[in-house]
Amino acid sequence: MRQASQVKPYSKQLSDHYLNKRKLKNKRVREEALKALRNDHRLTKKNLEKAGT
Amino acid sequence: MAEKKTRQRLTILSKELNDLLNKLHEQSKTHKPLTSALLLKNALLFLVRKAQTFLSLQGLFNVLLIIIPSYIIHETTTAFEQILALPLSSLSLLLGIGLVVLFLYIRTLVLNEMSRIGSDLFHIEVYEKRMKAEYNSLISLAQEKDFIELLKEEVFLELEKRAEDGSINELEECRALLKQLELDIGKKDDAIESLLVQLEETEESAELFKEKYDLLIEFIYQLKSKLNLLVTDQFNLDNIDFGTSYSLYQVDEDHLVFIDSYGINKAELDVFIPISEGKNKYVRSINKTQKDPLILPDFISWKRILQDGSEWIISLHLDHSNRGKLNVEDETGKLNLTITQELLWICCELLNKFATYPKKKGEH
Repeated sequence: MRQASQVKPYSKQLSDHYLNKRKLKNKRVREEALKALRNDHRLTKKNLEKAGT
Repeated sequence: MAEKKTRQRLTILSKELNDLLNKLHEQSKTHKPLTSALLLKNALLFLVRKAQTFLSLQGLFNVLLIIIPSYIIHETTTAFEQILALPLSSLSLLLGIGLVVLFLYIRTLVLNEMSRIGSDLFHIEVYEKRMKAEYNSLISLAQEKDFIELLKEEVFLELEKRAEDGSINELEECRALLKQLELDIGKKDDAIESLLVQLEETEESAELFKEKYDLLIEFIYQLKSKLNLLVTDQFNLDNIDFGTSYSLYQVDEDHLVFIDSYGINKAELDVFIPISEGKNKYVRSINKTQKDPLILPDFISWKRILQDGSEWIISLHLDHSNRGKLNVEDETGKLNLTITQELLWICCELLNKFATYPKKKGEH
């Protein structure tokens, strides 16, 4: 019985690991997206200044 | 590039033709009628100028060029003597012919001079008669002063205007394109921001589902182990651990009979509880259901009717380790409680059916 309960193909550590891995990927994507957004804002501002002159 | 070439060509055209046409224009406005007197006057002026040139070194040289060969001919031949020996009538005829030839020669020279644009003797009517093709081509361009110069300036202005319009249009197009691109970027930015918000929410949901999933999996493993016990006839309440202490009572006529418990000191629990003790928390649970349990601090209890019709009071005894997990105030706690209730009920059914415990009053 004890042996049976010890054999666990799924564990909390496994799901934690999977979720953390996924979160790390998301974090990178989020950072890249935020960087792109910052660049876009800066570019738009610059273009507006140019168009104004 | 093409514009520059056009400008160069126009400048050359203007430089070459403008003065010429201006002179034609001036002459066409101020010319005197072509009379014999004018012709004679111009002829005299021409001859005087020619005579003046004879006084110059070149003129003297030209005279010598005539005199010296004539003298040589006179000295070496008898040509002049034979001419002088001719009768007077013949000499007169020769002289007359000579004068006519000279007149025609001078006339031709004077008319050539009067046809030369730029000469002060220039006369437009003579030019028209002697240079008809050129006159017809140029006179229409000499209708106004500085015709070519004005034309050049107009073309220059037009070219500048076109260039200016072209650059303005180009600038406008660039601005419109820029605006469109900025709009597109703005839309994409909005989409990215929305996606980031969605990502945040999805992560939170994933976290929540993971927590629930972990719990379910844990329950499944426990259930599996219980079924294992069942198969090996080792199933009893001591093996049923759902992460919380619990106790079980069975309703029997006018009292509750203790069945078993897990995680609690059994000596502290009453074996019989009269239903008449209305304030007792177990007795109060008789009227409670799984969906609407009796909830006290550290105690959740409800009545469940099992398959064989027996009524059980199932009670959860909470402590600091599971109070948050089974907190009915939040959604996860509610879910956890529901899952615990369901699994506990199944285990109770199994226990009721297979385990050996005192099922009747006085048997325990």
